[in-house]
Amino acid sequence: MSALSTSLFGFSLRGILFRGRTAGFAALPLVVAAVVVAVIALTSVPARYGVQDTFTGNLLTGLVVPIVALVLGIGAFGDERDSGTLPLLRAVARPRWHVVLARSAAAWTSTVVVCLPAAVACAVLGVSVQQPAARVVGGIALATALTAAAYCGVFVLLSLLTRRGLLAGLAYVVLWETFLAGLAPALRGLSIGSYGRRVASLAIPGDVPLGTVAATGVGTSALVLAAVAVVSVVLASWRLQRMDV
Amino acid sequence: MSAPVTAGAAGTTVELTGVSKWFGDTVALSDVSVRLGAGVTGLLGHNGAGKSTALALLAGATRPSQGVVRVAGLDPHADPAVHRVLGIVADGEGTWAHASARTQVEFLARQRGVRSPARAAAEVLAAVGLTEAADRRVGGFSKGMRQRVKLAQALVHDPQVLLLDEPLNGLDPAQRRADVDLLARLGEQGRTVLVSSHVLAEVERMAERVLVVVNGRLVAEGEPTAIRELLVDRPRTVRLEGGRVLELAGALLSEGLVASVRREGAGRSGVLVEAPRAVALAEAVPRLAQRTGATLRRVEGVGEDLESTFAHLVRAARGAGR
Repeated sequence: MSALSTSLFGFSLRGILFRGRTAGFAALPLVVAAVVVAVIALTSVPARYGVQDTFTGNLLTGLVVPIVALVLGIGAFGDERDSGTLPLLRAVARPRWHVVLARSAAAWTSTVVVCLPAAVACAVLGVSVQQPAARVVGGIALATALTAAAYCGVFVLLSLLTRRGLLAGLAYVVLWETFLAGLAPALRGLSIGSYGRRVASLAIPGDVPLGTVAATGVGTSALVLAAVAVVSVVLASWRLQRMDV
Repeated sequence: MSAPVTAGAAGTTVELTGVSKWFGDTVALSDVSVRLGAGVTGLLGHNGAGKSTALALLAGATRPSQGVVRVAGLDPHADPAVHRVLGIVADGEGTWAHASARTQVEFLARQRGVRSPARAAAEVLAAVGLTEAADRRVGGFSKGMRQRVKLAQALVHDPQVLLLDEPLNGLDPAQRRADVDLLARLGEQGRTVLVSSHVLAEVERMAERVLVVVNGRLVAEGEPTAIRELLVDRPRTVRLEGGRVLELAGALLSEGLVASVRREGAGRSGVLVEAPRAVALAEAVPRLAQRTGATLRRVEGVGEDLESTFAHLVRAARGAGR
């Protein structure tokens, strides 16, 4: 019995992707993508050069990824709680961390898929200002994937800790990630977004500021994001094992 | 009541030992000890009596505040391996609306280690009468159909132990009969089946043994006929209406069949009699009505709700019967 059961993953993924709410939130990345396309069509290269940070750092990594991850990550177990099917997910003959891993992987996959239009648009924007294509695509792909993994891990855990996960997660994203963490350099070390923006800086020319970034290097930031995802899965597994459903 | 109950000959597969469960200040289950073996056991009690809590503990959905729970020798809350031998129909919704009946039953079969999940799903869906609707999304199902999906989910891996929380709710009479027969058959095949209900008549059609839970306490257990006698032949207030009912009440009083007689209040013509044993009263009324010339229009129990019935059992269990 492999740890990441394809059946468990596939069933979870279908559950997340075919929810009405997912389709609704898929509009957010599409809107960002449309705005980027409009910017590319209507502005000159020097003007576009200066807005990359806004789109890649603030919009993609700082808004689209966390919001989509919030909705889909919380839904991984929150919707099961609401529909009374959480006991069924515990009533399977495999370790509970397999269930958490499959649900987290499904939330991450669906978040990346839903965010893809916005990520592609940001990459096109970067390439359009004569940045090396491999660096732009690689940087944005890595930043999107790792930031989504960290956020999904945290929100999946949150969905098992409280019935009001969506509200708590929204407060976290709005208050902490977009406001409080930017107030002092010391706080950035506790912000997923700041690590995500540091990884995204791979795709941005060195002279373009990227908003609030972590003080660590790109490699360390990538490791921190991966570690947040792994630790969240471990804690969520412990929680699912212990909780009453 | 915490006295252990002996299991059937096939050995114990389900066991609660000194189990209590409380939620804050509310005691949901109090010092319950019971052992179950092969066969169908009915778990009877009014709403809020503790039936669902007992089943949730056995299903591993929650941990006991005190005591030990074992299913097939395993701790159902801590050990997921128990779900290879355990099937559950839980209280509440319990189906995935986005998936078809076949998809979700097959998914659960796979997750519980069934070798041929597709075949097992097809067979169990046929057994609960859902073959034709198997590929439709469950979100569009009626309540009765969803209940059958839940039953299929519980049965698909051919479990040795079945815990079913009001599994007949929402079913039409024909399906109810079919499922009662199905559960009785499962018990005859040597499985341990625990079925909760608040309807004695339903339980006694499939169960060889009945446990009665009242206010979190196990207050009675035994064969269905014994439980029926316990529930039916108890002190009752009965209203008699018709001509010459006072004479009839007097005759009942003189034969010691009723303890007291009261006339009803203004505007009502009946009398209320307090009978220590309802069955003896029921047997005597036709005979004495004939003798006294009473013409009865109505004979009915007063306060005949289920909770008052169970309250009687609580008093009996405390040794304070009337």
